[in-house]
Amino acid sequence: MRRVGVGYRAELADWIQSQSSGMDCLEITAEHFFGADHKLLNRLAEQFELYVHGLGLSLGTPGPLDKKILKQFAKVADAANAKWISEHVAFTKTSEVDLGHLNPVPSTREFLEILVEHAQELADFCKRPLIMENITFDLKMHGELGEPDFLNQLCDKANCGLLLDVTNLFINSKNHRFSAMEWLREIQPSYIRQLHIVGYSLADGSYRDHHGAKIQPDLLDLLGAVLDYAPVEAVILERDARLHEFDEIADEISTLQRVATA
Amino acid sequence: MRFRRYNESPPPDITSVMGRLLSDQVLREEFANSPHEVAQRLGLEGANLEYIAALDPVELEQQAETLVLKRFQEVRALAPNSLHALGGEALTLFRYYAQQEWPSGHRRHLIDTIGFLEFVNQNSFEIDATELRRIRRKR
Repeated sequence: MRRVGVGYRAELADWIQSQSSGMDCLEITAEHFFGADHKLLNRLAEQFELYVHGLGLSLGTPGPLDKKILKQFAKVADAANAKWISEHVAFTKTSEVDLGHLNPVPSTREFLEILVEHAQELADFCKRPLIMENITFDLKMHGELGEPDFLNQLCDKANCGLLLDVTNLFINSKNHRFSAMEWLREIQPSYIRQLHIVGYSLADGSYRDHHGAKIQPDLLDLLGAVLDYAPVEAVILERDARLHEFDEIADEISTLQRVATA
Repeated sequence: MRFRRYNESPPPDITSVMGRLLSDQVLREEFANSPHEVAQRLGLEGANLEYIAALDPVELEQQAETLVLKRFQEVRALAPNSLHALGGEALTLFRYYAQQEWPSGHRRHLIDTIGFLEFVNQNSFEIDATELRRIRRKR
């Protein structure tokens, strides 16, 4: 059975609890609950299947992971009784600066090893399955491996799955002019366990992920293709803006449920 | 072959140098003009130096701009009234502020918002003082 849900945001709390939301899973952003009372997570875990998603572990930065963040992450995953946890194929900080958002890593064997090691450490520490997410990028970081090969090897060596962000794939394919379908066909389908999707924006010829737009038809087509291709278990609508548009979000969830079960 | 002195720091890795480049506009401008020289100045050697020197400066600038715009989005979500009051000046002011300040940790967006509103206030632009007080209480 494929589940459809939304990324949990405080602004959506009442709507999620309403009868009309019709969802059976939620994605929790780990950092939003660092140092917070976990009773809410315990309650949500009784009603929904939960997945815990990280933003700031910076698995692509060489060197040891931040133990304090790891511990906080694991606490959130435990409180949510997370079915799985996820992080990004990216770096967000160095020893000198926290860049605050996701940046690509070189697709080299050296960085593959760094990510494998960190992914294993995270999964072992949290004692839960891990899935890794593809990101959007403006800066192309070349290497010996193409992105799909890099992701396949990461999943294989780290014994993790893939959180395929369909919007990120779509945006990269447009901005960097490659075929999203060819990219997809290079990915081992069994690795893809969860999807992210949200509408894109287009400005000055450049596609962006502002996490506030309605899902466009061409993006839905790509979602359909991914769902045909891989044994996806959960689809998450990843909205961070225009969160007061409850009717629109409900429509989006209904559309995703229809596509996911077609 | 050059030997390292005992206890000499190891050369920086690729992500450290990217962190420097992505957070420093002046350095990026220098990099666009002389990539090898800047990569060398940042302590890179051998294959790492060649890798960084081969990065596309236009794409590097776009990546840096994306980081600033994503931070701006977070600040706008936390302080909508103040950013509305700043109108078209908001992004220009944020770009200036964001080059100097890189808050860290999971509360970085909150710290960023407070820092930006204080910066704006210090420069005599109008903000929503009630909103700033409310955000400070969340810290």
